[in-house]
Amino acid sequence: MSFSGPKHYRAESAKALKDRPSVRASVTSATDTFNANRSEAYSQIDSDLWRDWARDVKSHALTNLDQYLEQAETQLLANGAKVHWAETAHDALGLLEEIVRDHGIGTAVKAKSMLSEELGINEHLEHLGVHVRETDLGEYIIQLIGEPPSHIVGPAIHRSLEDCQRLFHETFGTPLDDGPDALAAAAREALREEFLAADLGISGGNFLVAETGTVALIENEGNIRLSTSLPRVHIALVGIEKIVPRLEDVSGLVQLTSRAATGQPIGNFFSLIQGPKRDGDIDGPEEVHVILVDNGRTRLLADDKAWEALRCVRCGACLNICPVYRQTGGHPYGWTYSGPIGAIIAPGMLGLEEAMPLPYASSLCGACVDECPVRIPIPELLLHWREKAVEEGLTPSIESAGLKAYTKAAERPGIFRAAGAMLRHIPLDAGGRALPILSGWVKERSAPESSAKSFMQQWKEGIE
Amino acid sequence: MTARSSILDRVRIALANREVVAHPGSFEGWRPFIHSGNPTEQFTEMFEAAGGEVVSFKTQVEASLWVRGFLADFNSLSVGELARGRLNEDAEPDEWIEEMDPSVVEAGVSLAFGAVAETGSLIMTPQDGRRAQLLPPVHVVFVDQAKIYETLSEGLVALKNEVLPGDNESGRLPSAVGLHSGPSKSADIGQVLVKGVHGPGRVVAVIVESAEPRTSKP
Ligand code: SF4
Repeated sequence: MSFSGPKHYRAESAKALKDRPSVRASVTSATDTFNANRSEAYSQIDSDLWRDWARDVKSHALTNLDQYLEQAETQLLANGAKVHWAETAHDALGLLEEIVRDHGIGTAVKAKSMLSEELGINEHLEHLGVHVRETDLGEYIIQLIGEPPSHIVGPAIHRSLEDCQRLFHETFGTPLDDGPDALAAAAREALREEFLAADLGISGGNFLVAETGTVALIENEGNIRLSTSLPRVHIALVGIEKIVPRLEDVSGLVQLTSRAATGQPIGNFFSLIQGPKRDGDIDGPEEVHVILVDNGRTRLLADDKAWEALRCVRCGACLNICPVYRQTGGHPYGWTYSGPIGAIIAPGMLGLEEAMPLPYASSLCGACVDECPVRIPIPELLLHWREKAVEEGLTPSIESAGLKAYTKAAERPGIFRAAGAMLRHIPLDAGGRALPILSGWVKERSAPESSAKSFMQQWKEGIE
Repeated sequence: MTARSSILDRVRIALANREVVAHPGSFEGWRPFIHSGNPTEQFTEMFEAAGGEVVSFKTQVEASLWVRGFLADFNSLSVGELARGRLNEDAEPDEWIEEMDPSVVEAGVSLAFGAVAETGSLIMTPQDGRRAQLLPPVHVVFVDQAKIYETLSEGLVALKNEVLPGDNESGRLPSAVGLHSGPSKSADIGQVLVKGVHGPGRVVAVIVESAEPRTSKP
């Protein structure tokens, strides 16, 4: 099942809060765990140093993107992989279709890929008559239920153990009180058959190394390694912003991304894929296709401020810490990428009008910017899009007044906190214009601690 | 115009007035946090923290003996191409272990190219067979202590520069490399940690300390 677009955000988030209280409970508990693990993992390293480094590697890659894309292509071709370019989702689906036809593909196993969600790969494969199976356990659960992922790292975190017990009972006939181990064993058995039989494996790519032509993939279950090792054809869908220059860069980025995402020093499986099986190899795919996808990324790159959002490594930290996301989970955002990162890339990738009101789906508390491993200035970019929305007449004028006061106050640390609070409350007091999601939770509970102090902390760091 | 040229054109237009950010250089962030200087200890600590098991032996003969004993508890086995010589080190042919297809066995044995201390990772190459590394529920991996690298970067560069069996070129990575840093795990069901989803739920690193020449049989 796919998304219906961000425009229903208000209604959908209100509905989620009212009708499905279990979502809030599950998301809160999952994000609390993510947050605790990330804090611990950051505390073990000099996280400021690491994040400055990562920010610069990604910015360097993005500001030289054309050269590195060409280099990656040359290397991949030398490795024996096939390289395709897709400007739009439509183009990517067309390329997929060609490969499916050329190879007589009947079944596909998929490793978790947000890009494949963005492109609508599953629907298209089914339309082509290909049986497609998600193999990440979380993705598998939501595929069985028929809903899209609600979080970029944990796609099914909005689902409780009871939900899974019911689902597996209906699907496999497992007893309703089976624990997670038994349920996972049932899934493993069912999916193992599909792995062994599949003609095609589809993955995304966390990084694409220009120097070596390497598609790098982080995971914990082993399903990505299986999806990219067993079927005779492997297709990797890679956003053009995933480029990093050198093998050495990926060594640092995989560690920082893993720490930011799940608090691990590294995901338990890390794949570095250069191309198809070679003569001395025992097994592996006969063909590896890398599809380089634009689909709105060059449009975002062209924005003088928001291009920095392309540094994102999709760790989910900004979702986990976001007091707004934590209330509803990802579905109300109405497209593939939810939470703070979703709100700042949507206007660039989809167009501002299409992305409304996502730049407003935030209390501007600034908690996210403290956590982001590549230091994307998320609150600044939210404000950037809000300014643009005002310019383009897409928003009520009361918001515009608040925005000006906020920007002005931002130049003077003393009243900054007050201004932040003011802007936070303007939407609440603006009657019908308010985002119900914000008023709903701000009134009844306070934001997580780190969010309350983050802007002030930043200011202190800046002036001391 | 092809998709390729129009994407590259759009990238160039977007970047036309953008200030180029310099590359920050090598990733040195780990250095203050590295273990007391003993890569084997750090590897062991990290690998165990991620749920893996580590055993260590002075020589390949001792290691092989232990692994053959360990495997006696399992009914069916598969052995990677590179691991076969190691496993049968010093064994008479009639003691050799009967091998089966990795998709049906209870345990698999592989030889790692090396390991990484800072992340607690085994570096697996396709020359050994990927199926043997991934399909059995239990995975036993030989690794030479001399090839436990301090950092991930050093490990990958060493792999890149090595001429691997069946691959006649150095200076390039194998077709696919897998870093295994612990058992397969997931918390996707009700946020409870489960081991052995898809990949091996149990992984044992067998460190061989001695670098002395092996007396291996073919
Ligand atoms: S914006 Fe930063 S924190 Fe959010 S998902 Fe991307 S990298 Fe992670």
